[in-house]
Amino acid sequence: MRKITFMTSMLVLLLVFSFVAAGCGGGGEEGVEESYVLKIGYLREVEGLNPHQLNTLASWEAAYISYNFLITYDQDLNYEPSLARDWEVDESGTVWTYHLEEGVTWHDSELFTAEDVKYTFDFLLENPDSYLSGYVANMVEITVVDEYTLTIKTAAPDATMPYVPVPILPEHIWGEMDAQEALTGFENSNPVGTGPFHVIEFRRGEFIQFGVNDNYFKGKPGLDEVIIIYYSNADTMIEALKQGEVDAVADIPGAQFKALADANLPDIVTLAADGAYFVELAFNTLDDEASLGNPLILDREIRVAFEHAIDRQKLIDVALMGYGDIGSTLIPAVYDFYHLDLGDDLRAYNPERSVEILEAAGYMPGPDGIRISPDGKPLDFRLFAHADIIETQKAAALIKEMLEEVGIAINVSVLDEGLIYDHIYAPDFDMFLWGWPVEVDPSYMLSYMTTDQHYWWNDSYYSNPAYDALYLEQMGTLDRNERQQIVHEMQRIFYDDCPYIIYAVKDSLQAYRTDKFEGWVRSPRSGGVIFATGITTYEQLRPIGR
Amino acid sequence: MILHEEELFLIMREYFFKKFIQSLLTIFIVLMMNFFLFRIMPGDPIRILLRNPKISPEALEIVKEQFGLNQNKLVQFWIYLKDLLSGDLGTSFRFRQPVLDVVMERVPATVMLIGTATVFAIIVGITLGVIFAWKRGTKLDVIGLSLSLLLYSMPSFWVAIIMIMIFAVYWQIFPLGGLGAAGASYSSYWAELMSNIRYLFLPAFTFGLILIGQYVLIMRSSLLEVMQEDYMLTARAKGVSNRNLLLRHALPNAMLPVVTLIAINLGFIVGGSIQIETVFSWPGLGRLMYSSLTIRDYPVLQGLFLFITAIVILANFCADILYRYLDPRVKL
Repeated sequence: MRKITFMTSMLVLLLVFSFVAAGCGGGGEEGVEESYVLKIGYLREVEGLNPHQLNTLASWEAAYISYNFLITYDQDLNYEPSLARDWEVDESGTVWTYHLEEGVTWHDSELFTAEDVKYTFDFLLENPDSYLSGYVANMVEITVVDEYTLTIKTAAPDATMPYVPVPILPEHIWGEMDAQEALTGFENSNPVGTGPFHVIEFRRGEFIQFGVNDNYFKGKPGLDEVIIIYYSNADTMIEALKQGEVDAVADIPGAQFKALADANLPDIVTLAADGAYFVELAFNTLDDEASLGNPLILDREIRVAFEHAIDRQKLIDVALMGYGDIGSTLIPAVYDFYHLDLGDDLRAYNPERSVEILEAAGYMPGPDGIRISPDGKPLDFRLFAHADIIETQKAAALIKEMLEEVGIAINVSVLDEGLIYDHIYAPDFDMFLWGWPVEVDPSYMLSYMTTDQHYWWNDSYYSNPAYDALYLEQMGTLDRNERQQIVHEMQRIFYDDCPYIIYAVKDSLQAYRTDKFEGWVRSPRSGGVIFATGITTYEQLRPIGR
Repeated sequence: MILHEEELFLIMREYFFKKFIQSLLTIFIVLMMNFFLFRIMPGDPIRILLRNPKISPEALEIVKEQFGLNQNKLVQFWIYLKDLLSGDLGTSFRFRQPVLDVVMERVPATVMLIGTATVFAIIVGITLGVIFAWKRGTKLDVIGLSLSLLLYSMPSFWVAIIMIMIFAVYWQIFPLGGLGAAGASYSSYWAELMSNIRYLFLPAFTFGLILIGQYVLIMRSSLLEVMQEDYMLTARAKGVSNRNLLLRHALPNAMLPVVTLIAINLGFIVGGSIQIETVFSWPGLGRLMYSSLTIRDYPVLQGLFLFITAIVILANFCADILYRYLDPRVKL
C-alpha cells in the first residue's frame, strides 16, 4: 500500500509539473513560424482530396488552388484564359477548339499537354459516377489535334461551353490506375496539379497545408504557404482571427459576424459580400395521386396569397441577422447579366392583398379563425425546417406567425437532412425551407426545376412544358444576349407559377486581416475574397511591402 | 477453505472461459442491434452523400451497388459479418476510406485528451474524496462538497467556453483549440512536445474538472459508509494508527464503487466527448461519431460502436479482476 501511495503522489506531482510547465510555456515557443503563410479558418472539414469525390466547398477550394480549369471567370464573370489560352467554335456550334498554354508543368515537373485534357474528360464520360461527370455530359468526342490543341465535339450546341469546371488531371498519374481505384480507393494525398499551390500535408479534421508552386504558369504567387484550418466552433475561429492566428475566415455565422463588424477592429475588414445562395419556401406542387401532400397547396392562388403574407425583410432581419438581400427569381442578383429584376412585379408584403386573394378564391374564415375551402377543408399545412440550418428554424417560426395573421394554420417540424429527403422523395410534404447554391452559369439552377428532374433535384415537383421547352432552347443558344432573353423568360414563368417563394439571397460573410498581406481580390466584384468564383486572391496576395 | 494452486487455476480457467463466451455473445448482440438499428433509422445515406446536383440517377445506382446497399438487409448483414471476421470493418460512405483507418486516425487524439483528463480526475478526485471524508463536517468538507456538486452539475460546453474565455482570450496563455499549431515546424523535439502539451492542457484540464466531481462524491460517501462499519471500531480499539486505519482498513473496501465508476468512464475514453471536442476543435472520436450520424455513415458508426463495446467489456472484465484483488470475499 505504501508503494501505491508513493506512486500516486509521484503521478500527481508529474501531472502538476507538466501542467505548470505547459502554462509557463507562454506564447514564445510556438515553433519557427513561416513569415508568408496565409492561414484561413473554415467551419467545414476538407473531407478528401480525390477530385472525383468533391462534395463540400472546403474540398472544392483545395482543388481550385491545386489544379486548373481550361477557362476561369474574371471579376466581371467573363471567361478568362487559364490552361486554355484561346478557343473558338465552328459554324455548327458543336465543335470547340481549345489552344492550350505551352510549357506548363505539373507539380512533379512533367509537361502538361492536350493528352491530359483528353484523358480527364474521357474518364468522366466513361465513369458517370464521378462527382464531376455532370459537367461533361454533353460531350461526345474529344480529339487531340497536336500537343497543345484539342477539339471537343458536343451532341448539340451547348451554351455552357466553352467553360468546363473540371480540374484537369495528369494522365501520367491517373491513367495508370484502374477506374475503380481512381474513383474511390485513391486518396490522392499529394495531388499533382498545375495550380498555384501543392499540398504539403493533409490532416483530416485538422488542417490542410499547401506550399507554393515555384513554376506556376501564371507567375509565382507572393505567398510561401496556404493553410486552411478547420474549426468546429465559430467563436474560437473569430477569436483566432482577432489574435492573428488566422488571416482570413469565411462562412461566418450571422451572430459572430455582427459582433465582429460592430467591434470595428483596426486591422480587420469584415465583408458582407453578395452571395449566390438563396433560401426558399418550397411547395409540393406534384399534381398526382402519388403525392401525400395536402392537395390544397396545388392551388396557385393560395401560394400567391402566402407570398403576399410573408414579410421578406423581417425574415432577413431576424433569421439572417440582416445579412441578406430580398430574393425573387432563380438566378440571384450577383449574376447580374442573367438575373431577372422583377421590379414592381414582385409580390411584396401586403397582408390585405393576401386576404383579398384568399377570399376571392372562396377560402373563408371558419369558426376557429382558420380559413376553410369551399368544400369544407381547413387551410392547415405542414412546414418542415432543417435541423442543421438554424436560420430555417427561425424563419419557420416567423412564417407560421405571418400566415396565421391571414387565417392559415401551420405546423412546423424540425427534421434532419435525412428525414427531409425521405419526405421529399415520398413525396410526403406540403412545404419546407431550404436553399440552393447557384452556379455562375444559369443552366444548372434552371435545370433542377425541369419536369425531367422529378424524383431527383426538382424538390417542388414543379412542371411546366413551356419552362421545359425554354430550358432546352437556352441550352442551344450560343449568343449571349439571345440566351439572356430566354433565361429571363424562364425566371418569369417560374416566378409566376410560384412553386417556390425565394425570400432571401444570403450574404457570404467573410473577414480578413490587413496588417500582414495586401492584394485581396473579390470575385466577382461584389463577392468574397476567398471561397469565391475565382482564386485571384491566392494568386495575387503578397506580404505588405514585398 | 484453503484452495490448492491447481484448483485455483481450474476455477480461474473456467471463469475466463465463461467470461469470454459471455463477452463474445454481448458483442454479437451489439453488432446485430447496431446494424439493424441504423438501417431502420430514416434517411437514405446515399442521397445525403451525393447531395451534388451534377450526379445522375445512374451514378446513384452505381454507388449503391458499390456499397452493397441494393441488396436485402439480411444479405448485407451476412456480408458485414463475413468481412468483419477477416478484419474488414467496411468502407466509410463519406470518406471512401476503410473504416478502420478512419477510426484509428482519431484514436490517439481522443485517448490523449480523455485519457489525460480521466487520470487527472481519478487521482485528484479520489484524493480529495478521501480528505473530505476524513475531515467530515469541517469547513473544508462543506466547501469541497459544494464545489464538487457544482462541478458535477455544470454543462461541459459551458465550462469549456468559460475556460477559453479566461485562458485563451483574456490571458492568452493557452491556444484557442486544435491539436497543435497547424503547419508549424519546430527547432527541437522538446519544443514540439511543449507546444503539444500547451494545446492539450486546456481541453484536458476542462474535461478533468468536469469529471472530478463524481469521483469526489463517490469516494467520499463510500469511505464514510465504510468508516461506520464495526470492524473499523474494532481496529481503532486495537490501537491501529489513524494512518493505517485509513490506508489498510478503510480504503480498500471503499474503492469498490470507484472502480466501477472508472470502468464505466473508460468507455467514454474511446467514445470521446462531443461537446469538449467541438468547443476545442479537437479531432477526436466524439466529433467523428456526431458527424457520421448526421450523414448516416453507417459503416463508421458501426465501427465506432463495436470499438466502444469492446473497450467497455474489457474494462468491466478488468474491474472484475480488480474487485477480487481489492476484496477477496468477491467470488469469481
